[in-house]
Amino acid sequence: MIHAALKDQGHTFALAARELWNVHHAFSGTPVQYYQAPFKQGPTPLLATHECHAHLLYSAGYADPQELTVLVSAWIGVLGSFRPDLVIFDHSPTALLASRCLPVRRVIIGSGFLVPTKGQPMGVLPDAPTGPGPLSRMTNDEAAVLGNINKVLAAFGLEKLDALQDMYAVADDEVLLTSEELDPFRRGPVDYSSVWPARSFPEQNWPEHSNRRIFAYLDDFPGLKQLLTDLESLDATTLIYAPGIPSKIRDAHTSARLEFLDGPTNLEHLAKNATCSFPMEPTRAWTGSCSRGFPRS
Amino acid sequence: MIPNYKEQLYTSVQVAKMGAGIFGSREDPSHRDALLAVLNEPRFGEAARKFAERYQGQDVSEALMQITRQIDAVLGSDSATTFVAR
Repeated sequence: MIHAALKDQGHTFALAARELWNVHHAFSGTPVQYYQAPFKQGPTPLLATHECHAHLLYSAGYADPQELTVLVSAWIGVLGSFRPDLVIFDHSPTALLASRCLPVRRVIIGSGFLVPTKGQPMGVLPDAPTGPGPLSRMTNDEAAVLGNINKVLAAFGLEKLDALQDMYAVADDEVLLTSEELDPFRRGPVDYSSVWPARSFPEQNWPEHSNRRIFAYLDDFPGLKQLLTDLESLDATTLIYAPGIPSKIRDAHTSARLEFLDGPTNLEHLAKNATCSFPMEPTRAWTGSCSRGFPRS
Repeated sequence: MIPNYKEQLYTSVQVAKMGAGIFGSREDPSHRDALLAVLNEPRFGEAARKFAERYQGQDVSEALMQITRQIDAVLGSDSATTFVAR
C-alpha cells in the first residue's frame, strides 16, 4: 500500500526482496521494478545463543569480512542500477551499509524487532541473560562484528564506525510498525505507527453454518497434521491460509469444518465475525485479528 | 500462536502478557487444550477487546498517509525514485 500511495504522488518505485516468488500478491497492479536482494548463502556460522543485534548480524554474513564485502558490493550494484533518491529499509542492514556509497535519503521501517534499540551493546534481545558476564560477552562479540564492518567500509573507502549503533545513525527517519504493547523492546514513549498498512486482499465470508469461527495462518511443520486434526475435532469452523503446504495434506483435511483459502485474505473483514485466530506469523497478522478484538491461540 | 523464530516468539510473548492469547511450541504433541482454552475462556476475548478498544480510532488509511508524509518530508520533494530493500 505504501508503494501505491507513493506512486500516486509521482514516485517511481523499485523493490529488492530476498524472496521474489510471491511478491506479486502485494505489488500487482502497480508498476514496480524488481531486483533480487543479495543475502547470505552457504553455511551459517553456529552461535550457541543470539542475545543481541551483533549476534543476528554475525549469522547474516558479518562473521567474515570477505563475505560481507561481496554482499555489500552486490547491494551497491542493485542500488546503483536504479539510482534512487530514497531507500526504505525493511530490515536490510547490509543494504543500509551499502547505501553509504550512494547519495540517498534513508528511512528505516519495520516491526519493533526489526528496528533494534540503540546502545552499547545495541539491540539486546528481551530474553538475553543479564549480569556482568553476559554483558561483557555481548560487548566483545559486538566489537568483533564492528571490526569486520570497518574492514569492509575501509575496502570501499568509507569512514569507519565508532560503534555498531552508528550503522543506523545515517537513517533520516524511522517508522515503527508496532504498538507499545507489542514492541518486544518496550522502548518507552516513542511514535508507534500502531497499524500495519497491508494491501487490501479479497474478502472471504465465513460459511453460513459456522457458529464458532477460527482463522488459522499456517506453514508446513512436523506437527501440522496433528494441528489440523486438533482443529477438526473442535465444534468450530476453521478457515486456513497455508501457502506452501503439500496439496496431499490439504486434500486429506478439507472438510465441513476445515476450509483452505486459495490466497491471502482480508483479515479485517474476517475478524469482524471470528471467534479466535491461530496465526503462525503473529507479527503482521496482529493488525487484522486481535486489533479487531478477538483472541489468539 | 506457534512461533518459529525470534521475532515471532517475542510477539507471541507480548500477546500472552496482555492476556489475549496462548503460545506453544512447534514440538508440542497437541494444541487442542490451548485451542479449547482460547475458545471457551472469556478472559482471552476480553483482553483482546481491551486492546482493540485502545486502537479503535486507528485507521489504516490515515496511518498510510502519515507514513507517506514522513517519507515526503525526508525527500523534501513531490516526486522521486524510491527503492525498498528487504
